[in-house]
Parts: sequence; structure tokens; C-alpha cells
Amino acid sequence: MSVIFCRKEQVSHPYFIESLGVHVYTSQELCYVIYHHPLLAMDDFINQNLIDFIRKELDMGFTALKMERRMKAGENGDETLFLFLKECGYYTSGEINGLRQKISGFRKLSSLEYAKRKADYLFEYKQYGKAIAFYIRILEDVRYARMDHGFQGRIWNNLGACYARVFQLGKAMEAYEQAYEKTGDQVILKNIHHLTKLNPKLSLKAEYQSAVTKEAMEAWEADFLEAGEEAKECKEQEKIKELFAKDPIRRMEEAGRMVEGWKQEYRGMA
Amino acid sequence: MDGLKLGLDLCDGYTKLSCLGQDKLWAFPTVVCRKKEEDVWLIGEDAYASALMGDGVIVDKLLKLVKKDGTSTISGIKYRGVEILVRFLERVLMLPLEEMTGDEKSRGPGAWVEQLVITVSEVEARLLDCLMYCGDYLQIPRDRLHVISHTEGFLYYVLNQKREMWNNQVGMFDLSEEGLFYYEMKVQRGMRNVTVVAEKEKLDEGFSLDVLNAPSGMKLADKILCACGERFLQKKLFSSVFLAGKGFENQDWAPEFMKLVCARRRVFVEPALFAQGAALRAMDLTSGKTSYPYVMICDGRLDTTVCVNVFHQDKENQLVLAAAGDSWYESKSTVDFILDNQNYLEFSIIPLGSKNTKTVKMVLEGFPQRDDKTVRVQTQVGFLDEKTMAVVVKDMGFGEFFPSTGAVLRQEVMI
Repeated sequence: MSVIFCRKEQVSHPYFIESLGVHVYTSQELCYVIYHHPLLAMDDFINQNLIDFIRKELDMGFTALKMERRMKAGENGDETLFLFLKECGYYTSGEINGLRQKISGFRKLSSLEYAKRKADYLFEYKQYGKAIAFYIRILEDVRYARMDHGFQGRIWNNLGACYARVFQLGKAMEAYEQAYEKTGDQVILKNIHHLTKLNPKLSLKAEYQSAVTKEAMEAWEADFLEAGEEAKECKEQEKIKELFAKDPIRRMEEAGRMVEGWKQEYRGMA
Repeated sequence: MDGLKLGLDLCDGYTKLSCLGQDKLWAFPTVVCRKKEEDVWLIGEDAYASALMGDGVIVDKLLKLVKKDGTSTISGIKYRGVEILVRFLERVLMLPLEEMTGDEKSRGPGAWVEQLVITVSEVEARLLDCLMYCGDYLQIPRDRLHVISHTEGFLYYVLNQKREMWNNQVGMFDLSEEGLFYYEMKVQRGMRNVTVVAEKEKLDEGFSLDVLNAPSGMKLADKILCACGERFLQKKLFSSVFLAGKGFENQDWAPEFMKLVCARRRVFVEPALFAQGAALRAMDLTSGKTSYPYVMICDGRLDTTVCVNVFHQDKENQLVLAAAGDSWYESKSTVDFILDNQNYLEFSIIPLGSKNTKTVKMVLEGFPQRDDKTVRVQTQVGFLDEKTMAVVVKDMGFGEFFPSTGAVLRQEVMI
């Protein structure tokens, strides 16, 4: 338990962290991103734009200079992250050492496993477009063929989930079919079935139908209907109902904001 | 011309204005008069003259009027006390401009006042707010207008003298229409800095200056002062003693008191000491480095330090929010903190020269509780008077990760 003093930072142009879709206004928020999202902060996170932000907006010229020199000298980027965390004093040495171990653990993963973790992380934060690029890169890697079927199936499955989230249902179907080929997992068939419900032009392949029992099909149907009912009750629906209850002028203003928010969210996803 | 550095001693009975650059002093009664037929305002003796002629309406006891937020109706127009005070101060600040051209005058006090320090008997929030309002009205920027107590004016005046005059204790009697006061200043030399403490006491023996118009009154007043002198000056070592106020402009009425006070002591008479002290403060404010590097403890300044223990670079440090010696009215700080797994703020209140540190815990009810260092609060600290600290804590959220809940908590803390 303690109180941390925050230095005065007059940030007029916040730094946008694309992978999270958030703007950062303070050094504490930047530290928070690095500490809680190390997979996003590793690799290409430190760049000239970030260093300029640290120098000009956070007014940490000396720290920016040190980071810049390290970056130009091609030194280990992870150490540059730790340097920044240390200079800010937001996290204790113990916490920074904990992060160091975590990052070191990530670095010990095989390159494909590391890439999958990163892609999964992007998926978790709704960055589907970037996650798709990562999964495809894994599939194109020569080492992919040497991986076991379980790993390959997970990659295809996750890729299918990404496509489904950005409404590319045809591609999602292809990816799920590949995943099912690798693993034979019934859950994947369920996802395929749900895709066919969303797009009637799609259908479950004849060879897969034999693997589906009548009971399973009924359960999936019930799940799909339940999901539909849940969607009707979700917060977003509530917001829309509230919107239509307002007077026309305020409704249009609010609707404009809402659509803009959706657009931004979709841009971030794609 | 250079901006003026003005010291203004503002009391209900009299007003004294000292202008350091011009080495001039103006003294006049604190009265203001508005002409009945036109919107023309006169002050001091001119105000009296106009009222006697019957073509103006006079208003006196301006500070009392302002403090109680009173009003005065002149020629059918109802004026608030502060509006009349503005007119009075406007006229007062024109006095040093007699040699100026019309253009300079027309620009208003904000253009020619480099620093204005007003000294008043008691530093009260209501009066200070009104004086700041007057400053704003006269377009004097806030950083060029300061208000200090008479005790602080006394400190500046004394500390501007040669060091041997304030090596030990310094005493002062102030006798005016406002009453009889005794001031005492002590110097405490510490390891880090020199602390100067001044105190003021209003004496019950105070009398109206009118008694000095009669021989019997003079004798009685001399006796009263002798008794006070014996009470305060005996058995103490004084580097100097000052006599201030209109009552000591002439000391012929107090032969016994003068004999007592001058015995083995250096005594100085300075009727406009507070105005001059204020002007010295004004001069000091214009210089880059202060000529008074002392911790001053007196009426109008804090005698305690308020701090918060903060964690930085793996070490716990004390962050000072207000230091002993700061003007309580001007002492305002705004700091952002991150609460790491706690839902309260704890203030340490350290009285000057005492080891009894008091801690005050402010529990932040209604604030979000998160354990990942994402509760950011803005803490504003100010003072309502020397003994009351007002703290306002706001939930600032944590950027776009956790928007502010809008929670605000206000608490007054006795220090």
C-alpha cells in the first residue's frame, strides 16, 4: 500500500497505441501498457514516434535521448523498455524484475509459439486484422509443417474465429474446415454450423454431417437461438432502445456518436 | 517609467501608502466621499472637506463594511462595501502618479503597478477575497497583488535593518486609532535555515488618541504605557525597540515611558512602519532572489508543514504540500497521486519546532478501488485560515483504460 506521486505532464497530443486502440496521455499510462501488455510492447513498440512523444509531450528529454541512442545502436529493445519503466518510477524494481522474467519467458518460446501467443493476444484485444496477418504468417512459415496437428488445428481455428469476427464468413468457413481436418474437434463443427446459420449460402460438408449426431445438432440449434436471445438483451441493444426514446434532435446527435464509435471500432478490428 | 513598488497600510482609521522608488509617503484617513451631483469620488481630507461643504456623502470604516458585506446608499444608488473600496483604492493608487502624463494615468493601475503589497491588521479570508476582487477590477494581475499582516510588515521592516538591530529580540509598540498593540520578534537559528517568529498582542489598556489632547490624559496615557513597557521589556534582552503609529508621531506626552524604553536599548520611531514594511516586501517580490531567506512565522503565515508520504524510485519520501512560513492565503497546491492498493490519503502535519507530528487520514469513500495502480486522484490543498486546511480530492480515472467516475470528496482538516 502506498501513494505514488505523478509528475506534471502537459500532454497536448496523446500517443495512440494502435494495437490496443487507445490514446496514452501520461507516462504512467505508457508504463501500464508496457507492464500489462508485454506481448504488444515487445518488438516494434519503441519507435521514433514514441521517443518524440516521450521527449516533447512527457517532457522527459534525457530519457528520450538515452532510448534513442539505444535504438540507433541496435541494442536489446527489451532493456530500453525497462529503462523507461525505471526512469518513470511508477513500478518498483521488484515489479520490473517480474516483468523482465515474464518477457524472458516469452523470448524462450519457439518463434511460431511466440507468434501464436502474440496473435492470440491481438485477438483478445479485438485487433482481428493484425491477428489474421500473424496467423497467416505462421501458416506460411516453413517450420509450420513440422508442428503437431494440435498446434496446426489451433492456428486454423483461431484464424477462422478472426475471419468470423470481421464478417468474412466464407474465409472463416474454410479456416474452420482446415481446423477440423487437423483436430476432428466437435466444437469446430459447431462453429461451422453457426456460420451456416449466419450465411445460408454456406453449408456443412456432406462428409462432416455423418460425424454430427441428432442430439448434437439440436443442442447447437438451441445454443444459436439462445445466443440470438442474449444479443437482444445486450447492453448495446439497451443503448439503442434508449436512443430511440429520446427527442429527434438528441437522437440524431447520439446516433452520430454511436455510429462513429462503431466505425472506429471496426477500423481497429480490421 | 519603471513599475511602482507600493506598500499600502490599510486600516479602518487611516491609510498609509509608501512608494519605494519615489521615497514618498502618503497618509490620510480611510474615508471616501462621492459627490451628490456627479460620479466623482474623493478620499482622505478632500473627502472630509467635500462632506463639510455639503456636496458629498462620506463613507468611513470601509474594512468593517466590506467584512460584513454591508452596503451604503449614496444619492439613491446602493453600493456594496467592496464597490466603495474599489473606488477608494483606485483613488489611492492614483496618488503616486501626480507627475505622470495623462496617457499613463488613463491606462489604469494594472499598467503602472509592478507590485502592490497591502498590509492589514488581521488577515481574514473575506477581506482578502474582497481585496483580490478590487485588484481584478483595477486590472492588477494576481501575481502583482499580495496581502500581508501588520506582523509580517513589521518583520520585513525590521529584517531590512542592520543585523545588529535584530540579533536578539525586537519589540514594538503600535499606538493608533486602531488601539495599542505590542509586537515581538525572535530569531531562531537552526541547522538548515534561520526562522524568524513574530507575534502580536492587542493590549486591553489601549486608549483613544483623543485623550492626548488634555494634560491629564497625557499623564494617564504615559502611565499606561509605562506599565505595559515594564511588563514586556523587563528581564529580556532587546536588540532594538520600535515605536509605530500615529500615537508616537510626537512623544512629548510620554516622558516616563520614553525614559523606560530608552534605558540601555536602541529605540526607533517610525509612524509608517507597516506601509514601509509592505513596500519592502513589494521590492523583494520584484527581485529574482529574495533578500530575506528566512522562514517567517507570523500572522498570515502557516506555522506547520503539511506533507504526504509518497513512493518514488523504491524509496518513501515526504512530499511537502504546504510549508511552515508559506502565506496561507497564497498557499495552494494541486498534485496528482496514484493510489497503490489503498483507498485513503494520509497527511502528516508537522508543527514548526515540534516533534509531535499529527497524521490525518482521509478515506476516499465512493472512489473506485483497483489494485493495479490505476486509481489516479487529483489532490488540491488550500487554506481557509491559518488553522484550517481544505482538501479536495477528485477521481481522475486512468486515461482511456478507466474513465473517471466523477467522484469528488471535500474535507476540512484542522492543522
